[in-house]
Amino acid sequence: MEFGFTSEQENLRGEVHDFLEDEVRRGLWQPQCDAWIQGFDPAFTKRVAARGWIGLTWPRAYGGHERSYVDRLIVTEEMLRFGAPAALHWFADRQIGGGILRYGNEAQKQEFLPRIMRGEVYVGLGMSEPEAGSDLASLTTRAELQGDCFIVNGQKTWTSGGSYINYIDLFARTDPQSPKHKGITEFLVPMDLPGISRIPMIDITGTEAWNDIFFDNVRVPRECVIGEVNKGFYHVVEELAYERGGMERLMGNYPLYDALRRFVVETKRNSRRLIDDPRVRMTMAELEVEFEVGRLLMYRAASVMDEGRPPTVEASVSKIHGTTFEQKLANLVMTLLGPHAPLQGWSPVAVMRGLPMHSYLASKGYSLQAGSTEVLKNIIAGRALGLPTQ
Amino acid sequence: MNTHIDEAQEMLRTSAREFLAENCPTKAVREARSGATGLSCDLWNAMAGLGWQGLALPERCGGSSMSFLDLCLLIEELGRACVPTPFVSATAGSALLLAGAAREQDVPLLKSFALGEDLIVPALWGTAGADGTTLLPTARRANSGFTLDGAHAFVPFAAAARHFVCAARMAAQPDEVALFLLPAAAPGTALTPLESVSDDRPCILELSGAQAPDSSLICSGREAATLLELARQRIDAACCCDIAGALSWVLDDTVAYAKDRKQFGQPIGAFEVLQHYCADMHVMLEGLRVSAYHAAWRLSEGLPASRDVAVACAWAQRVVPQFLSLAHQVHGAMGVTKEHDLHLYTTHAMPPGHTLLPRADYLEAALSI
Repeated sequence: MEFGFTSEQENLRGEVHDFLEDEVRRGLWQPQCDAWIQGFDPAFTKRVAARGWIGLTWPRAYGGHERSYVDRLIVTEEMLRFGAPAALHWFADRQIGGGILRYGNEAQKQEFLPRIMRGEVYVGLGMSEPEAGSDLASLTTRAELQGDCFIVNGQKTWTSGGSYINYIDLFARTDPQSPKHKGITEFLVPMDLPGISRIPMIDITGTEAWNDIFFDNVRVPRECVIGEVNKGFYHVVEELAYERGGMERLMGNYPLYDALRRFVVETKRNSRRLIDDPRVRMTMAELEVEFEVGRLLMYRAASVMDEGRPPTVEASVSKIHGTTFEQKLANLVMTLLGPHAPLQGWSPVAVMRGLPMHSYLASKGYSLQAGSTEVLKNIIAGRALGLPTQ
Repeated sequence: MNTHIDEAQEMLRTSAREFLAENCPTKAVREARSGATGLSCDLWNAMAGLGWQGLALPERCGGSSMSFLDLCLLIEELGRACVPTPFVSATAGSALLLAGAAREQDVPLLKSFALGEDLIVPALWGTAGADGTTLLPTARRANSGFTLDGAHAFVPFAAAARHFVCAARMAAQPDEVALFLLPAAAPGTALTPLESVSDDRPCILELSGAQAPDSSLICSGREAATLLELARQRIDAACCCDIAGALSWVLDDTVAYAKDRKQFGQPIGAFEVLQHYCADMHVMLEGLRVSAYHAAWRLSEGLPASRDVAVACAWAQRVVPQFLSLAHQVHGAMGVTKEHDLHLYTTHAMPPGHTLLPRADYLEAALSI
C-alpha cells in the first residue's frame, strides 16, 4: 500500500495542469460541467494527443507509453478539474482502446490504436437500445452474416456525442437461438457506412447530449468484429468496469464545486460571509469529506486496474459514492441560491455562469448513465456479497 | 499510488484472523465485558506472545519495528473480532508516544509493555470546562518535581492501567503543554467509572495534588505539543481501522443472516430491497476503509495527516450510525437482543467513544476553505 505519487507522477500532473491553465488563460475554451462527455473540440483533442496524453497506458509497440492507470487517472483528474472539452477522445481512451488491446486482432490494434492516440478516432457507444437499458443483454439489434459482411438492422440509443463520432462500438445479436447473453457480438463500425442515420436527442438542460443511431441493412465487413463472434457480452461486463471506474463519476461537475467554494467565501448574506454561517460551513465540510473519500475510492479503482483486473465491484462502489456526491453538490447549490438557482449563464443576474442549473438538471442522469445505481447495487450484492442474483 | 495489500501484510491479517477466531470467539468477548476490568488478561498475554503489543515499537524497546500502517491492519482484525482491549489507544497512542520521546529510562517500561505486562494507557483529552473548552490538568512546580491537579475524562480501560501517559498544562505558562508518565497508583490519583455502554470501560482520572517527580516529565513545550497531537491522530486513525474491522464483521454477519433467514418461502436476502441495504453498507464501509488506510499510511510515512485523519473520522461518524441501522433492520428483532452477537459490535463501534471527538471538530479540521 502506497498512497503517495512518484515525482514522475507529480510532474505529469503539473504538466497537464499548466497546459490546461494556459489554454483557459488564452481563452480557447471555458471550464464547463460535463465537458468530458459534452465538450466536443477537435482542435483541443489534437492538442492533447500531441502531448501524448491519449492512450497513456497502452503498449509502446502501438505508440503508447505503457504508463499506469493511476497515471491516466492523474491526467483525467486534471482534465475534469478544469472542465476541459475532452469528449471526442474520452470514450476511446477510456475503454475502447483497452477493449481492442484485450480482444482485438493485430490488424485492428495496428489500425486503431495509433489513430486514437493521434486524436482522429472518435468512438461512441452502441450498447443501449430503447427496450434494452439496465437489461442490456436483451438487446435486439440484429447482425446476420451474409458472405463477408454482417447485415445490421436495429436502433441504438443514448449514444453520447452521436453527431461527432466517426466510429461506433456496436453490440448486436448474432445468434438469436442462444441464451440472451451468449449470442451477442462486438463490432467497431465506421459511421460513414451506408444505412446508418442519427437523430439528436436534447437533454433536460437543453443540450444535445445523445443521438439515436439507426441501422438499416448496414453491410458491416467481417473485419469489424472485435474478438470472437457471440462473445461480445463478456467484453461488456469488463468494459463497463473501466467505464464506471473513472474520476468523471466524482468530478463531472467539478467546475461548479470550484465555483461554489469561491462563492461561499466571496458572498455575504446579512453582512456575514456565507462560509461564516455555521450551517453553510458544516455543509461545505461534509461535502469536502465526501469528496475526499470519493477521490480515494477512484484511485483505488485505478490501482485495481493496475493489478490487471477490471474493477467490477470497486467501480460500482466508487460510482455510487461519486455520483451521490455530485447530486448532493448540485442540490446544495440550488438551496443556497434561492431564486438565482434556475438562471441561465446569459441571464443579466446569472450566478456562477449558469453552472448551478445545468448541474442540478444534468446530475439527475449521473446515477443512471453507465449503469444505474440500482444495477450497481445488484452487482455489489451478487459479486461482492454473494447474495442470490435477481 | 497503489492500494494493494502486500504479502507480508496479508499474512499478518490472515494469521491474526485465525488466531482471534480461535482465541477470541464472541463468548470470550462477552466474558471479558462482564469482568472487573473489561479486559481479558489471558488474551492480552497471548497477543503479547505473538508480539502484537510491540509490533510498531522499535527493536531496542522490545518491538518489531513494523510500520504504523501494519499495526493498523492488525487493529482492523481486532475490531473484526470485537476484542475489548486497550490495544488501540495503548499501542497507537501511549506506547508510540513514549517511544517517540526516546528517553533511555523508558526502555524497560516499553519492553515490559511489549511483553504484555505493564499496561500504559493514554490520558490525553482533558475535560470540558464550564464554557465547553477543553481543560487539561495543571502542572505546578513543587519542591521536587510537579504537582498535578485536574482531570481527564474518558480514559479507556483505566482500571487495568499500570501507567498513564498524562497530558497537562504548565501552571506558570498556560500555553505550554507537558506530558507526564504517572504510575496508576500514584498518590493523589483517583478513578471514577463513567458507566458507559461502550466496551472501553472509560473512567475519569482525577488528579488532586498528584505528585510527579522530575523524572516523570516526559517532555514539555513544542516537543510535547507535537507528540500529543501525533498521538491523538494515531489513535484516531487506528480507531477508524478498528471500526472498519468491526463493520466488516457486521456486514458479513448481516449477509449470512439474510441468506439463512427465510420468510415468504425464500431467504430474505433474495429481496432486492435488502440486497440494496447490504450494498449500501458495502459502499459506506469501502469508503471508511480506504480513508482509514490513507490516514494510517500518511502517519506511517511521517507526513502531515491532521486533515486526512479528520476526513476518515468524519466519514466514520457519518456512516457508522447509518450502517448499523441497516444491519439491525436486516436482522429484524433478533438484532436488538442480547442473545445475538450484533449488539456487541453496535456498542463497540460507538463514536464518539474514548477517542473520537465530536463530529464538528473533525469537519472543521477537514474543511480547506
